[in-house]
Amino acid sequence: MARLSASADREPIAGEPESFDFSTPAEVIAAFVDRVRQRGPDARDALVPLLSEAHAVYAERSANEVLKLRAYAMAAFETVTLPRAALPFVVENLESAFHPYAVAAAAKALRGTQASHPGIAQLLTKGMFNIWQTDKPVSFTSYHTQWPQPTFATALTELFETLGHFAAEAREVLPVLERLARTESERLSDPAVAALLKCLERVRTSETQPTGDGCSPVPLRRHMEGGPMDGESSRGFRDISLEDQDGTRLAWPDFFGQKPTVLGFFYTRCGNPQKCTRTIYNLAAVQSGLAQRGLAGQVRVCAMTYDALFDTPDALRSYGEARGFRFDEDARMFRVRAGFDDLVSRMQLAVSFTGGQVSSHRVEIFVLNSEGRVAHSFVRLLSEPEDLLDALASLVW
Amino acid sequence: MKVSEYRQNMRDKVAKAAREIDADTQSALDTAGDRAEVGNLIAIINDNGASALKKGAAIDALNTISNFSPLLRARMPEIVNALRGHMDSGEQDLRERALGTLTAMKDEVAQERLVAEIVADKPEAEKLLPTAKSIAMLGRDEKSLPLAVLRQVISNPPDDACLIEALRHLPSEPEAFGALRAVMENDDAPLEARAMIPEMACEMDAPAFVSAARDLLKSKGAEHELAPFLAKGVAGANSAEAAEEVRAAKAEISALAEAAPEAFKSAAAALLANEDPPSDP
Repeated sequence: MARLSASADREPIAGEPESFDFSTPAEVIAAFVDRVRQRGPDARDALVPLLSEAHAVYAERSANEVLKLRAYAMAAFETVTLPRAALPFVVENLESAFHPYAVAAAAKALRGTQASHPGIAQLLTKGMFNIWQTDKPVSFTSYHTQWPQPTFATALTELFETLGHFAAEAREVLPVLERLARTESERLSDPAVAALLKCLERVRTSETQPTGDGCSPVPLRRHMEGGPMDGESSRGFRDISLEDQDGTRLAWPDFFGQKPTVLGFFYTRCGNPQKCTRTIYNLAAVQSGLAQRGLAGQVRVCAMTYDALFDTPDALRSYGEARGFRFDEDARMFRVRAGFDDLVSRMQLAVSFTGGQVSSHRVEIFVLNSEGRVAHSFVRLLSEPEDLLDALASLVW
Repeated sequence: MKVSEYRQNMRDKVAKAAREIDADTQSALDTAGDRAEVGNLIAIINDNGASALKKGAAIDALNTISNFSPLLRARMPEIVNALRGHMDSGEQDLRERALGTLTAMKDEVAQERLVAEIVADKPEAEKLLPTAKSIAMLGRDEKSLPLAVLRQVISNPPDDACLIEALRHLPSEPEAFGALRAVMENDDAPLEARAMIPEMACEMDAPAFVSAARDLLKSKGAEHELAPFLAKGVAGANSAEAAEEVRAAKAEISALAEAAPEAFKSAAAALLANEDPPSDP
């Protein structure tokens, strides 16, 4: 598990704990974030571990608390500047979060950089449409805000402000913003309309070329998180026992480590359509593309639930079938009957639980080679079926 | 009355209702489509000079039109901001209306506030809402109610209503079995709470439940008020892991039923009727 600790090249922050864990009160963690914010850019790296749902501090916390603490840490990057290590988390929130605090925090964090990132305007626009129906007031001035606020920000106002911050990049989405102002303003709150009009003004009057910070533009998606690459062969996962959608029980090496295999993690109670549902749809799309790539019969496609207690074999089957997943010997869904904690550790899965229920997780798809070793990781950011097929093909040919 | 006459009668009633909208309904429809009127309701909720009664009425009006007003979506951030301002109101009724409306929207700020109140170390009378009511409100969104909080309430409930509400919302997780068993075995706990447990406990951990049920039936007998519920719980235990325990429990229940009260006999009969017919030799 990741731990907060003072890095070697900076002074410790006053009161910085050696390690936080599940018993650390939220207020103590928030106070630490506040101190980092006051300290400035030299302390910013201390916040990055707090972005991961796998951090020990998030174990046994409610989904709300995990989300709000992660958002509180992320929003602080607006002040302390945004390190590259935080980018995958920011992009993730804009791509696949539907929660006002998560989206607003990502928008604020991006304002902590002047760097030009190709695709940033489309990403912010995607976040805008994700949050459109569930926009709410947010505040990051303190962890426990006093309500009501005389004037308040929302996820949408934060997104518009960030689009204005990247005005030159946002010129490519100017037609979308103008159409929004022209035809949809009746459906936006007054603060959102005001922020949209201000954003439009900045974008219209901006330079046509992004100024940036002097660095070469870096595509946002280049900053992928690592997976358990070059790790041990999963053929050694003998103590991990599985049960598939038909109730068939087997040991891990009975399925993995024989053919190249794409493995997606999910759980049926996931409420985020861009995460687990999309993972299974992507795996079904991979199945559809196998024949065309000449991969049929040479690879395996499977999904594994985080939620073995709730996701019974019947639940796995019906969830898969409803999303077009076609079951056969090489295409199965599993729950882990024993050894789940070991699997989390060995695969470096980023998932947190409270009372046995998933409280937070990232998108996690791995492509294992025929030795059962992870050869490609597609984690946190959304991937396309074609990317997964390319990864599988690279292991066959 | 013929079926065709009944059908015509119903059609006439529906047509009449569609023609004759009463004054209250018309007023709600008018408010729902009037931007100024919706703004006025929000202003009342934010108005420090308005009475709690007037603010409560404004919240009720917004709730009434929330399902069909095309204007509310756009005003939602303002409404949420205004309602959050009354989460700690000194007026219990206003506070309850605000928190009830916010939790119905799954507002995470209100949810966080209520969870903090449930676990707060203070007398029930000093809490924002009675704990049972807080749990019921949070129960609208299963992810807002941490299992640890429910277990804390179940282990040390401020009152019977809290215990029953916490049990109603307890997810089916094996690690909660111990807390359930403790309540099931506590004769001082209300029967309404204990009667819920056999079915829940059986779903969480069937072998452990059947074992506990056998122990209880042995020690308390078939006359005990919980005994019929235990027999019904055993009937629901159909996992392979519990097969041996269930067979033994059925034999014991069958023996107890002979001289048992009617309620237990009836539960035992249902349990034994589920048995597989003996296979042909």
